[in-house]
Amino acid sequence: MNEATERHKLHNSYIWLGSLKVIFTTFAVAIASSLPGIIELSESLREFRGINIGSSMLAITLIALLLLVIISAIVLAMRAISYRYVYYEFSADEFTYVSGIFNKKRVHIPYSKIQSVDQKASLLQRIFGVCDVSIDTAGGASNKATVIPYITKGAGIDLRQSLYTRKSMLIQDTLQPPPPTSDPVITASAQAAPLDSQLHSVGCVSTPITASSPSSGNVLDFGKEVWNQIDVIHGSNAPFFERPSYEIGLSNKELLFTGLSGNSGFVVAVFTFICIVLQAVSFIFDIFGDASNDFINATANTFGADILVMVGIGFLIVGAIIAWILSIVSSCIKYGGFNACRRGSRIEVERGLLQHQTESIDIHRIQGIVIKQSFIRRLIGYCELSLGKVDAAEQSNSSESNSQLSTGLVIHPFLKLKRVDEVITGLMPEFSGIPQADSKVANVALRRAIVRRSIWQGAGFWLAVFVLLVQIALHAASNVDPDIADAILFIDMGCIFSYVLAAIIFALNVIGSVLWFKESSIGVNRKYARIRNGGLSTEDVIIPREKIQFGLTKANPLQRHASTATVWIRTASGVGGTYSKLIDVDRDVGIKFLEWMRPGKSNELLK
Amino acid sequence: MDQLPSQKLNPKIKTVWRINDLIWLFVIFLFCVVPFFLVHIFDPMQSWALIVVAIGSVAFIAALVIFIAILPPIRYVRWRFDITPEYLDIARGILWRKRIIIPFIRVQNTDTKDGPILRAFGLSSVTVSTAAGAHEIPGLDASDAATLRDMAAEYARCAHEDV
Repeated sequence: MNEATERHKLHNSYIWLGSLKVIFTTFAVAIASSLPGIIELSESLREFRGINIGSSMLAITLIALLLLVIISAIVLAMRAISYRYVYYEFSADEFTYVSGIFNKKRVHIPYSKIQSVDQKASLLQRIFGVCDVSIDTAGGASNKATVIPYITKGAGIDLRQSLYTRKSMLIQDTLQPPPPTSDPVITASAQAAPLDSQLHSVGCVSTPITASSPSSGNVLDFGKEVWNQIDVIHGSNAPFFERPSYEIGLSNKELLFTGLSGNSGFVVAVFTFICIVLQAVSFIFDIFGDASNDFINATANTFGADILVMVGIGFLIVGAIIAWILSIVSSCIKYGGFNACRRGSRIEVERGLLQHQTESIDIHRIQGIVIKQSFIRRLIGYCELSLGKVDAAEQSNSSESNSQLSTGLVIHPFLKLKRVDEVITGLMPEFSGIPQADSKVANVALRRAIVRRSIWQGAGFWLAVFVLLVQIALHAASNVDPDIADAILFIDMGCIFSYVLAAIIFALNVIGSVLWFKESSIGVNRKYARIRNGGLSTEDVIIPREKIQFGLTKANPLQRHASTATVWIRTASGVGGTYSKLIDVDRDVGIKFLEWMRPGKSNELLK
Repeated sequence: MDQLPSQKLNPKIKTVWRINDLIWLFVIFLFCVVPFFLVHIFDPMQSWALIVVAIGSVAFIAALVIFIAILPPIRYVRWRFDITPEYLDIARGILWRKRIIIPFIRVQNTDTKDGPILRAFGLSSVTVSTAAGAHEIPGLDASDAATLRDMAAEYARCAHEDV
């Protein structure tokens, strides 16, 4: 193969585009750390030399610009030098990535070990038609994905295509041991495990199976078209070797729901906004000194201090609402252009209108299917569908933590529950014959769940206990301390408010326990285990039998007394592994589960 | 599955457990209680330090009784395992009783390990690792451990999918 030793270099934007971020952060840190010094400098300049504010600001700005130029020059030079020494190449069995000037780092990745190849591009990268490709091997907790930064989008598609093609060729090779004479025969062998032979018939080559039309588009899809045009300009719009055999996108409603459910971003946004405002106000006070004090006093005298406070609070509230709307919009933009498809032997999910990313996973590497419902999703009959995969310890995807409920690869963030079967059949037809979880938890589990979730783990219960102790302590102290005695009325009111809150939380816990009892169950068949945990939010996990690392039952003395046990299933998904568990199944069901775990006994059922 | 697995650990493991627990209990006692004793010696006015020392000593003696006299025999009785060509079956735990099935097709590597205390009694432990966690059989006669490890490695190599 003549491309076996061809060295592929990165795109030159590695130098200047890659430097931007470093320059910006270095500069910001330098300014932030020297800001107090700058303020002091300007004050002393004014006092001792009588220089007015204007000139001192000018001097400071000039110094800052000089600093920026020096930092940029250093960073650019370093990047340019290291650019010469970075390359990647394909050999017969493995992929090699080399970097480093003095300490040369060579990463060798055998094609067969590749779990997924993902692609990411920030807004600036997309404008210039480059992206980062990261290659993930399921190396366990300490393994980081190898990142090939700043290659053109066309090179990125070629890279992903090559890796997957070479990987599937190797799978075909290893299925049939090569005849003693010459090259391995590339045919599917009868010895193949069922999953592999189904794979070859489904479509590792470019014959497209009728692609299901995307569920419907949404308003942000036009943005995707714009980016496609930009790709044409850069010449990187070559399609993949395989056509997708099933695709699904987000409708307008689903896109909006996904944006709305990114609420962790909202809290952070509001908090950041308030902090920035306070910082800005104190900064202004520092710079302008007495003038701002006079200004505030004059305004207060004119309009009254009350109105000033109300205006301030109103301003903050409006700002918070704007921040909330902005966080919704940004979540929607993060999911703009969302598309999940089945291409060859892998599932690819891409999303993002400004910053764009593509994640993919080989069908062999799916550790489980997770159907999760938060409370809101539950109310409106939607769920999040995701795939379990082996994760590296370093999770650099902070941007997706908002709207996502789970780790792993999210195939659809807001899917109607009724469509789950259809989507699984379309994206992963190999996953047929998934059992129903029909063995419910033991009857005694209801009482035990209420006690466990509302009392021992109940936030409401412990809040009430805590407030009670505080109230008793303060009442005792009020006999000693007159200040506390004065405030005792407010203290009692606060305690009553807390008790009401605790009662509400307790009631919610009880309701959640009852829902959990009614909906939680386990089911197994020849190929899968399925555990469903209900409650105010629900989780349904489907695990292929060959992905179960080990299974166990655990019973504490109370459970043994009640003839129940907890079933635990361990898979390799997540970082280092994940347990899926079901608390308080009947003791017999636990015993039957252990029977089923024994190889060769997969026909055992739990009923 | 109703029956406990048949094989037990080597009885000498009880003594190993006792020695181990004695060591770390003593270390905890040294670091937690003795400083207060020193406080009392250097400053006899601090009578509360003596109370802390008294409480600590009582707790230490109670822990000694539990961990040295009571627990090891019970732990030994409840630690059982079975090995078949297809899977490893472990039952352990006193209060929280666990029963674990590890199919050999999932086993990645098998190791034996022995620290100084285990070696002094001629014992070693066997560890069986999967992609999502390892399980240790803590105390077997060294030659039995080596045999078990070899068996486990062979079973892991030959195991095939049953799906």
